[in-house]
Amino acid sequence: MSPEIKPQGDREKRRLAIVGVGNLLLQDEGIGIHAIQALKKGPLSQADYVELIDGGTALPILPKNLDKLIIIDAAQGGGEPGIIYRLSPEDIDSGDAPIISPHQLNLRENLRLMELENEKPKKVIIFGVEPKTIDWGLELSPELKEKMPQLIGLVLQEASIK
Amino acid sequence: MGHIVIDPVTRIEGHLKIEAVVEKGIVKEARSSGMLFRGIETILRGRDPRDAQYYTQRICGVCPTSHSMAATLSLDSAFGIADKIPDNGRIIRNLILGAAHVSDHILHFYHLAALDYVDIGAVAGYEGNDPALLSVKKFALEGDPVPFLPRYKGDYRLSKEQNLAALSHYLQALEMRRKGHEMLAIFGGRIPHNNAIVPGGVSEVPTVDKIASFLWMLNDLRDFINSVYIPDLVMVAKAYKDYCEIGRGCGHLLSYGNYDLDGKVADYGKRKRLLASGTMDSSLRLEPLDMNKITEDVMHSWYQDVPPLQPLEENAPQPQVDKKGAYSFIKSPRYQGQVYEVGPLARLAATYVSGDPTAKALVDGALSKLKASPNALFSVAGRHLSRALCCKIIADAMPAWLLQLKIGEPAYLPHTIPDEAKGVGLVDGARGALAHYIEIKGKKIANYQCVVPSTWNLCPRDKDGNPGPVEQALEGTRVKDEANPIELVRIVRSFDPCIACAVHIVTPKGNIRGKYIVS
Repeated sequence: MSPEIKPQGDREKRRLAIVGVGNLLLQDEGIGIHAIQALKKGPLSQADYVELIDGGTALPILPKNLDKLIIIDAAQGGGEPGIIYRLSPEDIDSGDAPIISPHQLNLRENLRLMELENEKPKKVIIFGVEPKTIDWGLELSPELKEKMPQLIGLVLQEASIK
Repeated sequence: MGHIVIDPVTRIEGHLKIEAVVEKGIVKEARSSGMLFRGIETILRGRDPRDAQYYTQRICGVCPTSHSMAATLSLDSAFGIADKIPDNGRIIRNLILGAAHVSDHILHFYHLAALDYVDIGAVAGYEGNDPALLSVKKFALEGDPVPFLPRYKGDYRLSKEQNLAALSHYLQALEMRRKGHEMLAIFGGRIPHNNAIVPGGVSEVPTVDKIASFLWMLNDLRDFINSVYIPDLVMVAKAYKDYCEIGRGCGHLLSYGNYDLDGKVADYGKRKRLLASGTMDSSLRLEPLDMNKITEDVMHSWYQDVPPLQPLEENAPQPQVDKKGAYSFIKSPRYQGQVYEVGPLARLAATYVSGDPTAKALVDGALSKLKASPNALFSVAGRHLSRALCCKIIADAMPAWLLQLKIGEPAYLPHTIPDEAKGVGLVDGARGALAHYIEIKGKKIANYQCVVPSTWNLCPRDKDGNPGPVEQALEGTRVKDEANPIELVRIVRSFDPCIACAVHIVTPKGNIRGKYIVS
């Protein structure tokens, strides 16, 4: 079994999860996945209290009752490309469209469902990065690539705060 | 004359949009528009063929497991090893796909479709002690509509007790979804994008521990399917009997089947699968698949005109957004030039017509409870019922597969990548027929095409003006209230549309500059 999904017993001990979400195939839309790949090469990959999750294009089922959940995603806030926002779930627009496809069971919906099950994390922090280019391709735009060290720094700092 | 637009993802451009022109309360014309992931071919060209499994899973956030299967089957076929996969590999692939489909079907009914029929308002007056219902009540009264609302106003017909029971099942279904994902991870290694399904078999080996944990969770899922999911569906279908006639669709069905029961036949279309492959017209005569009959038409798609071509003959399409008469980025796949519906209805019907006794008993049993004829399967309720019965057939088959695993024997066949080869991988994903086509030159990917279920179901008109399956299902439907087109939403949802490409951006509320910027 890969280290990423531990058996239930171990998984319950983990108090912090960091999830990158996005589509790796759509350039800057994949910023969350690029960030997780970078974090896996760093010190957190060895820490037993944290789970690093490549959420891909669907937010996966998360560990229950976390102390903290950190999410990294692209965020369209209208700023310059590469700007990093720090958001809480209430700041995210859920849109006013009827849910018609499971693709729409995104971040906000999944967190609400966890709340419904009384399993939501005590704290949820979202780092959103303003994208420049969302088109077919595997590479981040130069603006976002340049911001990656800052993004990782912010995430590491957040992960160290109780 | 009214014009109804259902644009489910207004926050993200280019996703599925349904437009309906209504005259005297009847849908005269319906148009389904969407965006397609044609970019995948460009990304894959020139790469190692084995990358196809890794990247194509990420096309879609909902069906990554099905894409990994189709990609891997296309590689097995191109590598000339499709008929040589060890049984352990074949079975573990089935278990991974089965865990994905079982949880996907349950998710679709409870979390996407049920609230069209079940009135969440029923919890408002709930005074009992069921913690699940109290949780839903607190949630509903808080005023945050996500994920329940907004919806079109339903014509809710269940009794208060029925509504309450179904709402408490909504919560149980979340737990089942979690179990399904954990089962997937046992053999898949990780979720949502598994890394176990690889050309040659799987990279995981069977162990007693894995088999036992899988079986443990599977038992709970089977209980839920038998005692909750299927009874709830029958209850809803009885209360909404008219939906056994609404949304009939094109009447042609196509299935690639899924879950290989024997891996010794190289041609996937001829394999014995748990859920059968084949094509059917409305007389329900099952014909074997002939992949040469599949072409894609772009007459009403925003691409430069080319005649209908087989997928591997196609070059990357040239977008042309000012094209007259075009209204979608989706192409129109056709079988023998005809419109075909894909999905659980198609594979259940193929299995039923092929004479499978399990499928026959389940379908006949459900239809007799509803006092309906087999024709009723071609409907909104019929699609939901087919999905639930497929779910049961898969879950019931898995315990025997677990026992067929041979501990200590290989699950993987070593192989080499050929210089030049072509392959096609066929499998029914949760939402229907999925084909991946690959052409290898100089050990690299020279061409790659995916023809996905939602392309079949959500496609626009073709060169002969024939509307796609969802369009046909909508046309002719009576809409009671144009401001509240619940009938149309129910029809579209019965197809379980998986709108392509999974753009996944969060949009903060209002003007957030300054306040939230941290770097």
